This record gives sequence, structure tokens and C-alpha cells, in this order.
Amino acid sequence: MYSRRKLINEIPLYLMLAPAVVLVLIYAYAPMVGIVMAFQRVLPGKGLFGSPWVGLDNFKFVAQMPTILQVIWNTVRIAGLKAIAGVVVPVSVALMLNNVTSHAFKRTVQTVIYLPHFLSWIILAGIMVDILSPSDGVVNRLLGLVGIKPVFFLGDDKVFPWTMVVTDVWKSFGFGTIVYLAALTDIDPTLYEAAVVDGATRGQQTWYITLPGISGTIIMLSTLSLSNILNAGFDQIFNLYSPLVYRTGDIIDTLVFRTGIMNNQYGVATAVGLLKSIVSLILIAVAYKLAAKWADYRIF
Amino acid sequence: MNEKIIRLPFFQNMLNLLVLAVLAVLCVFPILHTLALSLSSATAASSGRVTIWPVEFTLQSYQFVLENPAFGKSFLISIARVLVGVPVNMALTILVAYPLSRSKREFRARDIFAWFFLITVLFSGGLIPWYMVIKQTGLIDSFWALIIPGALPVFNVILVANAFKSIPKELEEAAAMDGADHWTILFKILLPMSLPVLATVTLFVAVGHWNAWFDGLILMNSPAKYPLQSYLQTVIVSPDPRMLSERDLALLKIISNRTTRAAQIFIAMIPILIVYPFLQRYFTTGIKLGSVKG
Amino acid sequence: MKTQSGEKLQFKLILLLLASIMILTSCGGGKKPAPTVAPSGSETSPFTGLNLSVPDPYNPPIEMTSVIAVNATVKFTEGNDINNNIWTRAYRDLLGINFTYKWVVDGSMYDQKLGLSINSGDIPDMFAVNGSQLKLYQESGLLTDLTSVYDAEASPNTRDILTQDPVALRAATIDGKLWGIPLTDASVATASVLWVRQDWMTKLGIEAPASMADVLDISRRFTEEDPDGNGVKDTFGMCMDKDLFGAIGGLQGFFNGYHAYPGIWFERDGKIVYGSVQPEIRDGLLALQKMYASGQIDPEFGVKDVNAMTESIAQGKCGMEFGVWWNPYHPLNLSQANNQDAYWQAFPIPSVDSAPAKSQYSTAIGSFLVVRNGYEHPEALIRMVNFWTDNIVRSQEDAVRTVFLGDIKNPDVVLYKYTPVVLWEPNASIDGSRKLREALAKHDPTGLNNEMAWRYRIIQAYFEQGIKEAWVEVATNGPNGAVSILEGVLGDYGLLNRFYGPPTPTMAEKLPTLQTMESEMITKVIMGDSIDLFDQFVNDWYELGGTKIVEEVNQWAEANP
Repeated sequence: MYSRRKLINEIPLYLMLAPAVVLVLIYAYAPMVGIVMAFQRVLPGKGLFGSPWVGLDNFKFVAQMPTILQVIWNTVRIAGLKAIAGVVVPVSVALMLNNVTSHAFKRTVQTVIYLPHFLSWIILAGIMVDILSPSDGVVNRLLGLVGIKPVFFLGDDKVFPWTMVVTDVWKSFGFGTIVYLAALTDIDPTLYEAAVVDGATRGQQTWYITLPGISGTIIMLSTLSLSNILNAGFDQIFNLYSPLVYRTGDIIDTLVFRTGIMNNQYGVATAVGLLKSIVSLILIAVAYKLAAKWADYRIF
Repeated sequence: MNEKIIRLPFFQNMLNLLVLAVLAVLCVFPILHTLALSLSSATAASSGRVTIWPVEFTLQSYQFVLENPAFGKSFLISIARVLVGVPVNMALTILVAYPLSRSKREFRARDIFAWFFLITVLFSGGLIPWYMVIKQTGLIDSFWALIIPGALPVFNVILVANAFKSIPKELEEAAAMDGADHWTILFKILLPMSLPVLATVTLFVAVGHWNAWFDGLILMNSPAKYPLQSYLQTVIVSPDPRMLSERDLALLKIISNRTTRAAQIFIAMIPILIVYPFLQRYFTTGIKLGSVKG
Repeated sequence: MKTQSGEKLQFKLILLLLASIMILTSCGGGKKPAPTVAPSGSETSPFTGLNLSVPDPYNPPIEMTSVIAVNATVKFTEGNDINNNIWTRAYRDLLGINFTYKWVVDGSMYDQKLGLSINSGDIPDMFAVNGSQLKLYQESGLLTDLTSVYDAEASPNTRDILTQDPVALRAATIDGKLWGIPLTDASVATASVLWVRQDWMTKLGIEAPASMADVLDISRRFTEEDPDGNGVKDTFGMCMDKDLFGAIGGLQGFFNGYHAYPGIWFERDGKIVYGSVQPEIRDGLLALQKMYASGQIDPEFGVKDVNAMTESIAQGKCGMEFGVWWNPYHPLNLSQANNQDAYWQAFPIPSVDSAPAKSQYSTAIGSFLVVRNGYEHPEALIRMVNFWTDNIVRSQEDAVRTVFLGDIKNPDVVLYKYTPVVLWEPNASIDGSRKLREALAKHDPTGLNNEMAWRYRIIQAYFEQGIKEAWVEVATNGPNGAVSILEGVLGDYGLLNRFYGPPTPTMAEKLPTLQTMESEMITKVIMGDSIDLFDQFVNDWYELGGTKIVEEVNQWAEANP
């Protein structure tokens, strides 16, 4: 009795899922069969199963590229820093915006910070070279005012990864801020009222009410960003890097691009994609377990 | 609206405003610079004389981009794409988010479906099989290729599912006791109370469709079917030394890839800038709690 | 209620704005160039009265599908589009070939779209590929062997044009059989010449550079003696960018002065060697290092791409660059933005010693036309090529050129972009330019075709009417222009890359990595790191795959004399 009623209750849920499941099966799972190409030497026109099988050769090819270890480290480092900054900055800005009383100011800032998202890295590259120039760029001139020596942001391989992180955060923090602002509205205002009555300071309110209130969103977005952990931002780095900074700035995708792997060696490209997916999967699974254990939070 | 914002002490408030103002300026400056570039001559742009104000003002870059009849066509295609794609995406997203937001008791197979969708975010067969499937389903060179294959971004599903989950359970239980079924709960309770997140996701979907360029370029068989951003990618200033005319030489001084790209960015940005404030009011709508108490 | 009407108002405003944008754009779209090509729907054939030589058309007509890359610069006149224009009509009416495109894509996506199309089983009858695609598709059995149809049907004009560049047909030959028709062009056009700010030289009283020592001296003086006369030491001797070897500000010309040939293969002591690891490179590097250290090169060149370097040129910041013949069209023309009298003069590459320098260049065969395996009429491609070579590319008749290539009066509509079957005569522009210079010397433009006549007028405008913008034409096609220097390059003053085949197996695998190492090493050494890095690089280059690559190239060279 109990389970039959449960089943009847669940039927609408299955109905709701049905169209999306069909869509995903066709356009996401069917193409996944193509992962077999990672184990083939792909010859064009032979279909997915007509090319010769080469076992793990494609993976071996990737592993023996001279700079591959350094490149993987660069990718993880840059992507990791971006992930952290990609949470800290939007959350902070959302909190700051939340404290603003003037609606006009709030709305304006909200709109303006979303705008850099629309600029492409192609056009930003030109701008960045100018303002980050060690000889007459605006940033270095400002640094000079406080007595700091000029920094070669784009040409010094020790600084380059940080430059990438900061400029990328600048371009994309508006997006995250919006999400967190929306999450902030979910917090029950009566909690604040009660806190004020109890004499809590602003800081205490933020720490004990606000942050926990959006912790779910934070964890969710962070975990999801792990799926991107090996995509350190091809578009940006490709437009801004140079031989001077290959040592710390070359990432998996730019290495793959430069070695022409894309052109005819689909097998190797698929192998790289597969490796990235596996790493992301492991990281997400780990994060999921950790979040469930410590913060008692599950994505679903 | 967060009516209960408590004022910060003066000094902290000023600091808060100052930091935000600086951030805003940092964001606005490159935009103004790009706008100025789009309205300047190529020689001025190339010689670095443009900061935030146009130098040697000219509308030629915009003209160059807009005068091609392909522009108007692709613009309309993009509008259609957004008008169709947003409802389709949102509908599917909501329909998936609801079951996934149910508790394990209510929906025993929930975790299976959750992983079903999550795996698609992580694993992909690459461009070739994706293209093949789209071809097999007859969508190559069709408008629907811009809508259907990408109709369920899982990221958005997660956002919405979380929004649904954070609505107090008591509301749903009260409704269920009044005989509400899943559909009623979804439409009468969850949707109205999740407006901020729904508005956010709508914005992302709209912007995503508006800015997408790669799928148009690769899935269409002729430029006549390109949406706006795909068309804009093709607009380059590339004089053929073989057929250079006097007009070309003169023109090259006025427009260049830099100025036309800047113009393209603005042409594409303007509709978003118009629609964005429209949606903004929803970002900060609060939860109406009246119905809970009692 | 207030918000509701506010919302409505905003909504209406949006609709209004969208509507006006749509109206504006359709207005803009109405501005089309006046059609000068015979519009479709006219009773008379556009081909009557033209002197064309064609075989009997196929009867019944055959079908041929193809694909092509276009971009927004490809324009059509009223009633025409990519599948319906003067070229499709020519193929249909004159040759009996119903020619259609399976798909048309933006140039940047051509390779990807072609790969996807072929991999999903959608193979066009005839299409264009690059060298590595040629090899790959031939290997996979996707192509038709064209040897017999070429031997049987290629016209004398076709054979002549395809053999002007000795490398052309060989590049398309695999295992003794011809698998594609090379789309030829003037290879020598990629050779560097030395461009110098003539107005600066005049101001500082410097003579034309005759040796690399002169070049170094000019570089120093441009940096130290304030040639732009603004009282600030803000000029550099030489322009270069982070890519090191581009068509603008590339270093290959500089190295050529030291008899070093980076990036290409050439014969030395009976074997084929790779230029970037030869000892002469060392001398070039040391010279560049000195220049950098004395501030003659932009200290930020390492992060500046070609656009940023273009800005330097436009701002009048550097006075010399090693580039190709068409640089005055872009970006050197931008120098005039800040200074009306800016003028760049081309010089042959000077040498560091008594042996004349040779400007290096590689074969310009980028594309080949192939036919898919199983297509019933591979000879149709040869007929299309013949049509082009017999009637169009060599024709001096303005009537023919206007109908098929484009009208000078209507420069936006470039007709030959509608078909992939476009071969340029490697020597034609050199010959045409020579005729132009002869005409200039005689002050007599008779006998020049439309295009050359028009260039003649522009050059005259510079000298006789003082129209300064016209300097770009003088600098390229004029009496001492870059093209005249290229004639010498074709002769004894050029070095052609000995290797012109598709990448060998180890090359495809390892060369990109080695090239990365090379760029890093060169950049660092120029900026001051010890020259020992070069020796280390040479060592690593051989160890990390170079030896094998050299072996393969030499094997290839034996099979391709």
C-alpha cells in the first residue's frame, strides 16, 4: 500500500524528467560513445569504429611531451587560484552591495560590474598590454606613486599566473555576484531582526547569519567549478601569453593547440579530454563527500 | 527589496561605497575605451591616441558592420533564438530541477537521475560525435540546431534546484495537506517564491544564447543562417592586395580590425543593456513570508 | 500599480528600440553597389562576344558538389548568391557542370567544418585541402588519383602555370601519383626585404644601407639621434614582436643578412640541414642582443603581438623592419597618421660580409584541389582548371577580366572568390610589375592592362601631384619598389626552402615542441641571457627529435629531387 502510493506520487516526477532525459540521452550520451577515439588512431571517413585501435598510445604520446608535467602544474595552479578568487571576490562584493541603501547606486554598480563579461579577450589583450606596460602603463605608474618598482605583469614568468587570475576575476566576478545577491535574498530577515535585538554587531551578523545563509550556494558553485579545474582559460591565456612566460603560463589547452594536436590527431585530443574529465570527476566526488560530511550539505 | 537593511556606521559605509565605486570605475573604464575605439578612426586607434573619448570621430566602423544585409538577417535570427531558446531552456530546467529538489523519501530514484545529468557535464566525446549526432537527427543547417542540443545546461538546473530546496518545507506540507499535487506545488508555491534565482537564470540563458557564436558557425551550411555573433566573427577587414582600390586605401585609414571589433562588441551589447535593467528588479525580490506564519 | 505601468513603459520602449534597429538595418541593407555584371534574368548570355576557349560541355550536364570558405568581404550583386552567380553560370552553360556548394563557411572554420563533414560521411565531390589534409585523406583512401586525367586533359596553359613553380606539382604527388591540383601563387612574395624610414634617413643624412654594419649603425642612430625631432628619446631602431618571424617585423630577414636561415631547410655539404640550429644563427643572436641592450629594440617586444607592434609603427616609434613586399599597404601606411611625410623605402637585405645575402622564402602552395574517391567525372576538375588558365588568369582583355574577376569600378564585388578553382601565375605579378616599371620609365602607359594602368596613375599622382597617400604604391610597385627587389630574390639573392612536403611523422609529433623551445631561447637570449642558451638549444633540439626529423627530411629529399 505504502509503496504503491509512493509510486503514484512519483509518476508526475518521472513525467517531468522525461523530455529532458530523452534530450540528454541523444545529445550528451550518444556522443559520449566517441570517447573510444581516445584509443584509436583516427582516420577520417571511417566512422567511429573503423579506425585502427592503438590502446594507450595516445595517452603515452601526451605523457612524453617534454613540458607536460610543468604544464599540468601550471593549469592546476592557475585554475585553482581562479576558483578560490572566483568565490571570495563575488561573495565579498555581494555582501558589500547588500549593505548599500541607495537603490540607484546599487543598481548602477550591479549593472556596471557585469559589463566586462562582454568584452572578448581579443580586444582586452590590446588594452592589457597598454595598461600593464612596465614603462608607461597606468598600473605601474600608480605603483610608482607609492614607491613600488615597475612590474612586468605580462612578461615576468613569476608574475604572469597572478596577472591571469586577477584579470580573469575582474572580467567575471559580476556574474558570480549576481548569483550570490540572489541567494542573499533567501535569508530570512527575521533572523537579522532577532540578532539586532540581541545586540549583534554588523560583523557578527555577517559571520553568523549571512555567510551560513549562503554557504549552500558557495559550496555548490565551488564544487561545480571543480568540473572546470583543468580548463584554466584558453581564450585568455592564448591572447595574453608569449614565449617569455611559457614556463608558468603554458596550460594544457595552449600546449595542445600549439602542437597542432587538434588538426588531424583527433585521437590524441580526445585522450586529453578524457583525462581532464576523469580528474574532474575524482575531484568532484571528493568534494561532494567532504561537503556532505563537514557542512552537512548535499548538492542534491 | 531588503527593507530591513540596517545602516552601517558612517565610516564603514563610506568605505563600503568607496570600494564599490572603485570597482565600478575599473569595470567601466575599459568599456568606455572600447566604445571610444569603435567611434575613432583606425589611425587614431592604432597610434594609441584613444583613451576614453573618440579621436577623429567616425561612424564608419559601425557602418561597415551594419551595412551588410547579412547583419540584419543575423540579428533577427538571434532575436528568434533568444525568444525561443529561453522558454525552452527554462521549461526544461524547471521540470528537471523540481524532481531533483525532492527529498530521497519522496523520490527514491533521485540520486540516479542526479548523477545521470551530472556526468554529462564532465564527460564528452568531443566535437566529431556531437556533430554526427546532430547530423543524424537532421538538425544540421536548421535553426533548431541552435536550440535543441544545448537546451539543458545542467549548471542552471543545479541553481534552480537549490532555490527550490531552500523554500521552507512547511509551505509545501501545508499545501499538500490541502490536496495539492506536485504540479500545484511547483507552479503555485515554488516558482513564485524563487523569482530572484529564476530571473538570474533567465538572464544567463538569454545572454548565453545571444553571445553564442561557435555553434552557428559550425552547424550551419551557409552564412545566411548565422545568428548575430557568428556573423560578427566573420566581419574582418582584409584587403586583397590584388584588388586594392583607392577607396580601399582610404578606407583602411578609417576602419581597421580593431575599430570594427570594438563596434561589433557594442552592437551586440546594446540589446543586453536594454533588457538587463528590466530583469534587475527581480534579482532582489524577497521572500513573502506572510503565508508561513499561522 | 506604479511599478506595473513603469514596467509597461519600459517594455514599450524596448519594443520601440528593437523596431527602430530593425528598420535602420534594413535601410542600411538597401545600399548595394550598382551592378555592373550582367544581372541574372537578362536574355542574352553574359558570355557572348567574349573570346573564350572551352571544350564541348557535358551533355547531359553533370553534377558536382563542393565546399568553400567565404567571409563578410565576399559580396554579391543584385540577385546573385554563392550558388547562383557568374561562375556557377559559366560552369553550367559553358562546361555543362551543375556546380553547387554543400556548405559555405567562414574562413576561420573551414578546416574544422571540413573535418567534421568528412568524418560524418558527408564528402563533397571536389574540395580544397592543405598539405597535411592531402596526405591524410589520400592515406585513408578518400581521394581519386588524378594522374591519368591530368595527362589526358590538362591544357598547355595549365601545364605551363603549374610548372612555373617547380615545386607545385611535386607537392601534390604521393608515391608517384598526382592526387591534387596545387593552387599556385607567387612564392617569392613571402621573402623579406628591408624597410627603412626614408624620411628619417634623409633628416639624419644617412645613406642607403649596403651592409649589415650599416644596418646596425642606422639602428643606433635612429635610437639616439631623435629622428622624429620631438626632443624626446623615444624611438627604436628596429621593430619586432613576440612572434619573432611574422610577415611584418619578422627576424628572418635580419638573420638572412648573417647568412642564417631560421625555420627553413637548405642544402649544405651535400645534406639537407635545418636553419635554426646552424652556427650562423649565433652571430645574428649576438647582434640582436647588443641592439636590445643599447635600447634599440622595444624592451617589451616579448609581450607585444603584431597589433601592438603595428601601433608602434603608427606612432612612429621604430624606423626599420624586415617585412614582405606589401607592408606599405598595411601597416606601414599608418605612419602617415602622425606624420604626413612618412615614407618607407625598401632595400635588398644587406650582408654581413662580401657574400651577398639571400632572402629566404618558402613555397606558397597552401591548398590543393582534390576529387573524392568514387566521383564519376574527375576530369571535370581539369576542365575547370583549364577554363581558368586558358581564359581568365592570363587574359589581358578588360572585357573578360571585368566579367570574371571583378570590375575596378566596383571593387567590393570580387568575383573570383565565388569559385575555389583559382590559380595565380607565380611569375605574373613580377612580370606585370616589371612592365609597369618600364612604362613608368617611358612615361607611357599604353599596353598596360586595367589594373596596372590604374597603379600607373596612382604612382604618377604621387610624383606629379604630390598626393602623399600614394606613396604606398610607389614603395611597392614603383621604380625602386619592393617588387623590383623580389626579382633579384627570384634570381641569386633568394633561398627557397628545400622542404615543401607535408610534415613527416616525427615532424608532426615533435617539431611544434622544438619550435616552442626555439622561440623561448631566442627571446631570452635577445633580452640578455647568455648565448650559451643557444648552444644548449642546439643540443636539445637534436636530442629531442631533431636528429630523426633531419633523417626523414633527407629521405624525403632523395625521393623529391
